[in-house]
Amino acid sequence: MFKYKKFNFIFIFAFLALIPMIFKGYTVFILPQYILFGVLAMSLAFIWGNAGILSFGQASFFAIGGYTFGLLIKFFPGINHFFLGSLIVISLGFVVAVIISYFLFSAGVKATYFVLATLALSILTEQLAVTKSTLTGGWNGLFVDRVNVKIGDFILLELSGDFNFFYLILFISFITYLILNYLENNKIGKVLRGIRENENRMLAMGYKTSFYKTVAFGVSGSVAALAGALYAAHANFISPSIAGVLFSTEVVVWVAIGGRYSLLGAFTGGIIVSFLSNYLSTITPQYWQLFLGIIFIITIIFFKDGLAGIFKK
Amino acid sequence: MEDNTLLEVFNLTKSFEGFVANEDLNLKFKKNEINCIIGPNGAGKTTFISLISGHIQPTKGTIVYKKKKINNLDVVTRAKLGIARKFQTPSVFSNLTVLENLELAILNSDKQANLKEVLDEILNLIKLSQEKHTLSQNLSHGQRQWLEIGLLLGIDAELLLIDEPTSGMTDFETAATSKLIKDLVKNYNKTVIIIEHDIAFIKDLNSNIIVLHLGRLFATGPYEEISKNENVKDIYLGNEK
Repeated sequence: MFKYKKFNFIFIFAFLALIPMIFKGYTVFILPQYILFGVLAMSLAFIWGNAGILSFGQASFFAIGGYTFGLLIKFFPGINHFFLGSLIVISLGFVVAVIISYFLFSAGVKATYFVLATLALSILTEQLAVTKSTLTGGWNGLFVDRVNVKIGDFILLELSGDFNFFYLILFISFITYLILNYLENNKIGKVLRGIRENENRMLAMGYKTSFYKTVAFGVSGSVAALAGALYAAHANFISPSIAGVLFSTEVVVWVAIGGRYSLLGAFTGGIIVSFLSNYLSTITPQYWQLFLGIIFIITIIFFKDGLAGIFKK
Repeated sequence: MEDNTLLEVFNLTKSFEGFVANEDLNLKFKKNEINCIIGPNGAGKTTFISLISGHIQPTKGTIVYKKKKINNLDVVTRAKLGIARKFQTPSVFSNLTVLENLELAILNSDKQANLKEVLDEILNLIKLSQEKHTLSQNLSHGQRQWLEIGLLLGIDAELLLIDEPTSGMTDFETAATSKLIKDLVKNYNKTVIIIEHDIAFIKDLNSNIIVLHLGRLFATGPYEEISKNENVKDIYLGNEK
């Protein structure tokens, strides 16, 4: 029997792939940014949905990725930015997340205090982006050139146009989804769900839970950093506000609305809610956050598993 | 002659801010035996189990498992060495099915290569084959107790510390639990330490009995001997008037 639920992701990515063939101009330009917000949302859903670890620091990793990628282009023009730069960004996101979470989880820090620590991380990253203005441009932000996908001098994909960049970002998002989905359905995913359900039982069964939580947070950090790097490259710009608490909170809202127990739910939540935020902010600049807040509250009260939960039922 | 001691404690003492929960306990547990710890509330039974599992650290004394001192080892390391604990209140994964619960346990053992066979064997043992796709939150209290014992089997522990396994069980479930525990010792080489209040259940297990009172070792011996001990009757079993 054809299990359509297992192939939901194909429908969603195929639908996104069709959009540039129907729409042109601004839609094709802006949609990749929403897709990257979807990837950022998946990075949070991976730890929040599976391990029950809520992070208010995803924006921080997103910004670390964006700034690192921008600075690599600015100060190291000779390197292969797309491949090596991305690898550096992914590794840095992983290492920073692992270092932070290692100390927190090894010390037995539990959910509420972890949220506070990640909140502090967002504030710290934003402050660093502001104060290290000789590197980051401070409040003026950092301009990031678009780079092509190439090996040596051979250009594999020209990225100056929005069409190619759209499909590159969609492809990377697709691969990222497959990797996270694979992890979710293998040992680490099962162990994380065990930790979410009953950490004391997992400890008593011999699982070093802090190790699994640290690795999961590392994976989440690396995905968020990669999304940030692609965002900076696509938008040609990154500013401190992208690291801040407000943006981190938005990520939590996307995932809560999309559904934290579903990578696809979080992905679509990130795309739809960020689109909606952008749309509402143009028609009602004063009240768009109020509308978003109302949607968030309704979701939390009536659909605690988010939109994905409704479809699952 | 081969020494078949699995666990030994010397002068084991635990005090909580002046309150002595366990005091100078010297006990020896042999392989493939069932030991029941009994005693009135506050006797220090659960504290003793917690000291062995590593959930709390002793104030004084030594714990030796398989001839190695394990005082400084944490819960995780002790579990990996083969010491597993069933808690007083069933501690399973409520939002996972019976199968998923057991799978999680087996994933952390050397048996994961034969996952399906091991799962079937444990499901049969704990009599939950029919409920394998049921969420554990929908099981009866007794079934959750069995599932938790199944988790200990899943990680392939050698020493099972079982806190009140028949609590909330029907007579039928209690009898089945007694059979299960005897089966684990006889056919699966497990060593079991049980905390229990159900005297009929303890009698049926026909095990060695350790009586704790006010944190100290009060008496030890087989059921027939303990049941006739006037002092034990006075503090715990009760005298027929």
